This record gives sequence, C-alpha cells and structure tokens, in this order.
Amino acid sequence: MRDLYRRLALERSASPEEIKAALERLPDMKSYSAILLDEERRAVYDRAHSTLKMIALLRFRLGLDKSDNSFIQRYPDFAIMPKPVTSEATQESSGHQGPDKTTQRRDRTRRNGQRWLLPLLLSLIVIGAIVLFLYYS
Amino acid sequence: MSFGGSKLSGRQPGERQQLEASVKLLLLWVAESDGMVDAAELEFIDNQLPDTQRTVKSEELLAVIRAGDLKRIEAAVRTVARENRDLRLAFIDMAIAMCIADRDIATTENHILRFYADALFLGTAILQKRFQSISGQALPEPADPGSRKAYRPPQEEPA
Repeated sequence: MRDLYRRLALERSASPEEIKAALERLPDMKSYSAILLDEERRAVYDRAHSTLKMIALLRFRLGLDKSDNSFIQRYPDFAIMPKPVTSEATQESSGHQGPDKTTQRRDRTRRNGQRWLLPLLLSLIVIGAIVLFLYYS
Repeated sequence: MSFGGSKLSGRQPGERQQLEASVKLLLLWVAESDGMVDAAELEFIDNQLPDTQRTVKSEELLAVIRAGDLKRIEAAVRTVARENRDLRLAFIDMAIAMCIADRDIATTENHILRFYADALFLGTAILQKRFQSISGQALPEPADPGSRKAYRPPQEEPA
C-alpha cells in the first residue's frame, strides 16, 4: 500500500481542496483522486493508513520490521527511519524476547558471575592456609 | 469458554489482571480497526475475559487505541509475548475468531493478526494453520486500499 498523503506531501487531515490542489501540481498522481476524493473510499483508506502506521512503528520498536509478515518490504512508504541512537532509546527498543530467551539470558548472566566466584574463594582459602601455616610454624 | 481458565489459575491477582487487561486491549484493537466496534464483538470479549468487566472498562481501552498510544499497546504485546505457548495460541485463536465474527476479515484486521503472529513468536505458518482450522478458509493476502483495484467501480455499487 502506498502512503498517498506522504507522496502528495499532505497531512492526513487535508481538505478535498488541498488534495485537488496537490493533484494539480503532481499530475502523475492523478489516479489517487479516485481514492482520496471519494468520501467512502478515503475513510477505508484512512483506517488502513493509520493501522499500518501504528503497526510499522510497533514492528520497528519490537525489532520485527524484517520478519515474514512485515509489509515494509512491500510497502516501503511505511518504513520507519531509525533515529540517532541514545542510551535511553537503546534500552527502550531492545529485547523483545519470549520467555525462554529472557530466562536463558538471565541464567547465562548468573552463570558468568558465578564463574569468577569459585576461583576467588579457592584463592582466598589457599592464601589463608599459607598464612596460618607460616604463622604457626 | 473463557480465556485461559485453568491455565491462569494459581497466578497472583495483579499478574492475572495485567495479562487480562493486555489481552483485552489487543483484542479491542482488532475490533476497532475496521472502523466500528459492534455489540457482538464487545460481548465476545466480555465472555472471554469476564473479570475485566469490573477491572478495566472497554471504553478506556478504546480511548487508548483511538489516541494511538503505542506505548500501551507495545507493553500489552510484550506482556502476552512473555506467556507460554498455550496461552499465546489461545490468544491468537481469539483474535482470529474476532476477525471473522462479523464478516470477512478486513485488511486492517489481517495486518494486525500477522503482526500478532510475529510479535508472539508464532509465525506465519502457525497463523495460517489456525486461521484455516477456525474459519474453514485460507488466510487471504491483505487487500491494498491504496489501489483503485481494491474498490468496486461506482456503477457496481448498490443504489
């Protein structure tokens, strides 16, 4: 689906007069008049337009804009351009994960933490034993 | 029949309430996307999620959707996506039932269903299979309302 408003450089709230004026400036897009200048068709189009806009943004935020069902490849007009990355945005947009992956990541982090703990404790015990041995001998 | 039923038993009340509110919001988005939420759709949701009739009002959630509050919708999607596969499938089945309850699946409903299938880690194949089994027909490709071909020529429209 094409974003007719974007192509005509109009707001979605554009009046029929504004649409007519834009179509006069851009004769290649004259065929859009059959949709945007017909009240009933425009209502159908507008509903699809707002739904696709919302889905495109949600897919982008959830990292799903390249999945099988994404319409972005077919409808590039609805593609979301990524903003410059900030730490807040990274935190917000990252990690739409199912239950298993989250649990796996948490477990992995915990395991990585524990990996350092055991050698540290063993080293302390060995050092303590040496100190005690030297003290008493 | 209601959502989850025994699958939700044993949950903390707050957790259960959050999940049910999320499911209700996502179902209402399907219902609202074709431009009108009819009484049958609201009744369907109330039957599936009877407890939410007193905890979260449909009107409040419809206002969230109509305002395009993506943060709330995203949070709801994430909440359902964290659930086990049985519950995610139960949710997709309800969403499909909502889509076909009134008439043929609308373009907007079709796109939302496909989005849910991806967001809930189910994928196209599962969605098509569930749609076929519930509706008895294949999930169609969404129509393109940006093309004149998607509309009947005026002379064919009933007077």
